Amino acid sequence: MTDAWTHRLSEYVDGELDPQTQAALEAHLATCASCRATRDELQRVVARARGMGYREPASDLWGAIETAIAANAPRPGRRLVTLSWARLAAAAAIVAILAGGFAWTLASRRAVVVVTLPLSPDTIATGVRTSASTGTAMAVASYRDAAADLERAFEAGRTTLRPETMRVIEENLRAIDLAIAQTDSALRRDPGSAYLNQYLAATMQRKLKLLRRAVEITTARS
Amino acid sequence: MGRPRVTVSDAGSLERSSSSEGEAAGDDASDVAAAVAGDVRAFERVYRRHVARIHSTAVRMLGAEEADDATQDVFVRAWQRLGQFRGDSAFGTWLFRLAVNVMLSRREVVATRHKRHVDDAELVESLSSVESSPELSLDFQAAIARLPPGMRQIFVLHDIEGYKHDEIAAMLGIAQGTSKSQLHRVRMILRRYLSA
Repeated sequence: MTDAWTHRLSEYVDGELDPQTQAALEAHLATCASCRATRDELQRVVARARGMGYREPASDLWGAIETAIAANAPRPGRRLVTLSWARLAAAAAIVAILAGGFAWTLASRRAVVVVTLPLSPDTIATGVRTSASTGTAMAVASYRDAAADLERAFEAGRTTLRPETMRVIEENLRAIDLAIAQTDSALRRDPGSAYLNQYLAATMQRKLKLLRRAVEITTARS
Repeated sequence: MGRPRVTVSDAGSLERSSSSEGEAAGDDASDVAAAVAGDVRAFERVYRRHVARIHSTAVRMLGAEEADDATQDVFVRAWQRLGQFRGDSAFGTWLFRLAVNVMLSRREVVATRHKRHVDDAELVESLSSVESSPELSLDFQAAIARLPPGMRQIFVLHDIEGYKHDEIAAMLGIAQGTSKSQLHRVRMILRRYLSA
């Protein structure tokens, strides 16, 4: 059974009510057996939770952790990732040039550039599928390296961010990655689209810009 | 601020001991300093002191099937970021906050969070409708495991780990009022499973 006071009972149990409200609720409890019973149950839930304790994992996880540390992890230190800002700047510039290059290619009615970007860190290893020139592939590789640098730096500094800030950044990154994936998909169907090529380049720039800003925030707080 | 309240001894009994926490903090300080210098054995000692809390929390927040991977992830990341620990709080507090962030960030949890509003209503309804007869009722811990992720995280952080609503609100990116109302809702559900 519930009444007007039921939803305040947890706050009462936790001692979070102001004195006036607490006094009013206690007056109600004196006359309401149902609320007294609910209060008692809530107190038992809290006591049960506080007594739950901790247990070791069924199997020892240290071996896997030590292996991972030895195989992949950098040694701890004040600065975990050294960013190649020169490489980042070069990548950003090249991405900008790429957008212009696409337009020129279309204007001259020559074969258009088709770029498939790495859509996630997991796909980076698959490399870049392109029918473009070696220069274009290098430009995309430069973008990819810069993005990977920034993602590592962001990852290393994420604990310095407030969770809600981190979530906003991650949601934006996901939105950008989704836009890249959708543009890539559209480009496969319509590789000659100037709009799509330019949008792809602009989206790459957005990702670099967002990552750079995120890393600047984490660096400032570390 | 959240803090470890209870530890389980080898015999399984519950203990509360400020002196043992103080000793652990002292051990942590020297071991963390050694680990920052690259001493893996020192970091293993840190792991042994904290793994039960981290793993138990992973079980409660992510489920048993995810807990081992999440725990390994927490400690690998902790090793990578030891240099960022500046001693502003106890090492255990820093580590647990990192662990919560790791758990909240795991892809599966994020994916679930997007569907939470859809799934929560059904799950809460199914849990709320269970009568508290011994034959039908779930174990108390199993009932926690079946809670929707958002509600489960609030309950674990508040009632088990001792975090305050403002801290939980900051960690989960929700309003304090939401944390309070969801916690009350969880407790009203779990009271049905007290006898289990």
